[in-house]
Amino acid sequence: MSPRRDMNDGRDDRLEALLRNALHEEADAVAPAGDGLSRIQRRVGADRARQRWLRPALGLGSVALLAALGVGVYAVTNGTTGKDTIVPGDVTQTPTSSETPEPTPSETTVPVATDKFPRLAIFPFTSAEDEKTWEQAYADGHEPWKADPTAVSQFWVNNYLQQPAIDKVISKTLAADGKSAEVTLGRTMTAEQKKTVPVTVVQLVQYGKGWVVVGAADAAAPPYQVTVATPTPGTTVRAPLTVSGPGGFGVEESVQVDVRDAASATSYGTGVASFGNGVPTWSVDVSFRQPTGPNGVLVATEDSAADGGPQRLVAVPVQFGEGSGTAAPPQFFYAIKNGRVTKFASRNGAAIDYLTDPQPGGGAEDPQLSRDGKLVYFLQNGGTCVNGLMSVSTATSDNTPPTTSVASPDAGYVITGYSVDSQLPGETRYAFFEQACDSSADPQAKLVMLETSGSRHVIKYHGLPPTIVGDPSYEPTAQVQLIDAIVRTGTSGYIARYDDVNDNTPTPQRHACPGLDPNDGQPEALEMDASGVLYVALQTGSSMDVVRCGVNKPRVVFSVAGNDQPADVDVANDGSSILLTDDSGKVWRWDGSGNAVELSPSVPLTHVTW
Amino acid sequence: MIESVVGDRRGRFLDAPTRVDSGRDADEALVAIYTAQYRSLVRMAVLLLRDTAAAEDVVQDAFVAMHGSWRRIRDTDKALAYLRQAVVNRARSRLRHLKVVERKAPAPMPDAASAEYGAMQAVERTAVMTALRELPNRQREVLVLRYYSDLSEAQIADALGISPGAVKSHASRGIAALRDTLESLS
Repeated sequence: MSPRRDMNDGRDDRLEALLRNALHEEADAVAPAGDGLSRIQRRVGADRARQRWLRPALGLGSVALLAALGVGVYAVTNGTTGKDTIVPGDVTQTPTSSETPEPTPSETTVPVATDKFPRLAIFPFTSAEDEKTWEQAYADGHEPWKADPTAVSQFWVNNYLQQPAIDKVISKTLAADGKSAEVTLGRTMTAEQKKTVPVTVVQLVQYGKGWVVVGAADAAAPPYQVTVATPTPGTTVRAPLTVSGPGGFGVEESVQVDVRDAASATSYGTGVASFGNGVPTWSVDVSFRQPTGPNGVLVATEDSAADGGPQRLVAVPVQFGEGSGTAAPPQFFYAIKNGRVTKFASRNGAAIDYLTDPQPGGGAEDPQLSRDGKLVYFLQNGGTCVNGLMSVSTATSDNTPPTTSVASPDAGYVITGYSVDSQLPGETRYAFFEQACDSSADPQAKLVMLETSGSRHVIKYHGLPPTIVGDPSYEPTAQVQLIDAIVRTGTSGYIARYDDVNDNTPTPQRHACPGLDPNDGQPEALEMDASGVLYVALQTGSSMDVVRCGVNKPRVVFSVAGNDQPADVDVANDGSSILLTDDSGKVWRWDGSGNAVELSPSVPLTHVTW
Repeated sequence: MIESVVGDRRGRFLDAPTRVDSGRDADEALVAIYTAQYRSLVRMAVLLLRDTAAAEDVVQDAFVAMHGSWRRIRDTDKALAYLRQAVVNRARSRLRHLKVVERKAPAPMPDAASAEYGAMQAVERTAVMTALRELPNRQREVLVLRYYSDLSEAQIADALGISPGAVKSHASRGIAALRDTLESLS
């Protein structure tokens, strides 16, 4: 019997149906935010942490009371603004094991006190000398806050990590020997009844009279806690730096990783990792520019989905060495202006100098800078269905330098895409995708691969599609030469890897970008950096994404919003900076982190190289 | 181990049992029950509260409480009953608080007419929802649990902590009140 019948004897059928429909229509229009689970898990984690602390605190409370009544003296750590925690080591000189509290609210280890200067020092001292210098000034009343772990924590988070919203002291805990401390900082939310929530637990060690930050942990408790598994504290890091940690909780979590200077409020580079929905680990490659000092800190933060404020903050000390950061982006790039190869400033896209003269019969197209930066290759049009590969020197001169003819297509064909590889000493390899001028010709297109040693291999395309889109790109391997290219087969495409000696099919089974899904977007351009990392520009429908291919699913390096179609992507040799163009001639420069910057050249540029 | 996911195509509760092995911890149960029930619980709470953000708060509160009580619950069916009860109680408490606040606040403007205003069904639906909001809390809760969540008398009684007879009485009075209100409008 249905609930309706057992309660109302079948009367009011129409009203009940109306009520049922009205309720469902009203309710089904409600779409809860996607962060419910992570919010619940954070609260559960916070409850756990509180309970973990409550147990020893309750047990210790009675001990402390006894001590206060005459057994001895206990100390209450004294913070200026926060709620302090009674510390057991000060209650009795011989605490029993049952009186020992668990280490920290977030199960991180309270730093072990040491008489040596802490190896992982972040702030405000990075050497014993720094601290001694301060102590001398401190005797005269200079910077007394450096003797207070709470004040040091607040100053560091607010001013050096540039997180002013984290302005509440939740608790302070001193270790038994009084030589190390943890300060939990939080903030007041602008949503959820303006609750005050913990965000981070700053870990400090006392050296001399001063307190030194050696790290910070997410204030949430495991397993809902963001931690950094790699790099480990104190590691000397280089760009691009892979930062990873365990995931496995939450929904649509997003961690921003910031590589920062320890001695100033300077960020050298950022990256974003996403996880949640069961993804077991998170990972992101962060490019960062060359730091100015040896001491750094890796900061992982996550913002609240409720109000956008900081929700978690983790800090790991790292070291920088010579050449840790990536080089600055190339100063110049090359493109075609008025049919001529032209040098442009990377900073803003301003034209600087023509490298070639105007040519009768057609302009230059598709420039590509050689790996050593000494030549620009380009396609020179010579009239209807005539072109050839040329090169010109990039050396500065008052006049346009002479051009050199490098190769011509087979008669009846034009080159529509090419790649030049000259990484092997004394040997240069060329790959040309040539398309027939006559629609009845057979083959309709061919991929011609030449080596200066004289070998030539041709893959024939008897009908189109399949066809190659844009320029192919040689892999920088020494022995077996492989060429990656976007192969369009009807409405879809994939990144094929051709063997320049053994393949004969236009559609080889080798995929150069494992895990690239048609749903990720339509590949339109690709290029490989000098180390063999392949980058692909995708049109997703709502953005242009440049992805970096790897062993697993490719990662989005940066995105440009809008339904534009990528025309070209060009990667600096070290992969640290990228140029992207769309088919209307707009140009974006990406410098290794953050968003791409749109340049403002005076003419549209669809093909660029640096 | 999760044997099945509860919730039909529209996200409503089904009667099919979902069991979590007693050995599994509260964390796993939380995720499983959240996946199956969160949306429908929020929607139910919206019907009681008319405020999505408040509804989400209330449901999240209920999940946190359920997690804390998992050692005692240890069963998905019981957890679901616990959640329903917690959501209804918290929603009622929230409404009580809001009424106090509203007494001190100026009266809100009436809802703007929707785009489909003029269609007879929409008029009726709006009238039903308006009339539903005018009902006493208990009657409204019974009707929402019955006609949105499709719960049986016994399940409603369990969720509200009242007897099945009281459920029957509240339902009957609620329907009668709705009928009277709608007839007075026609």
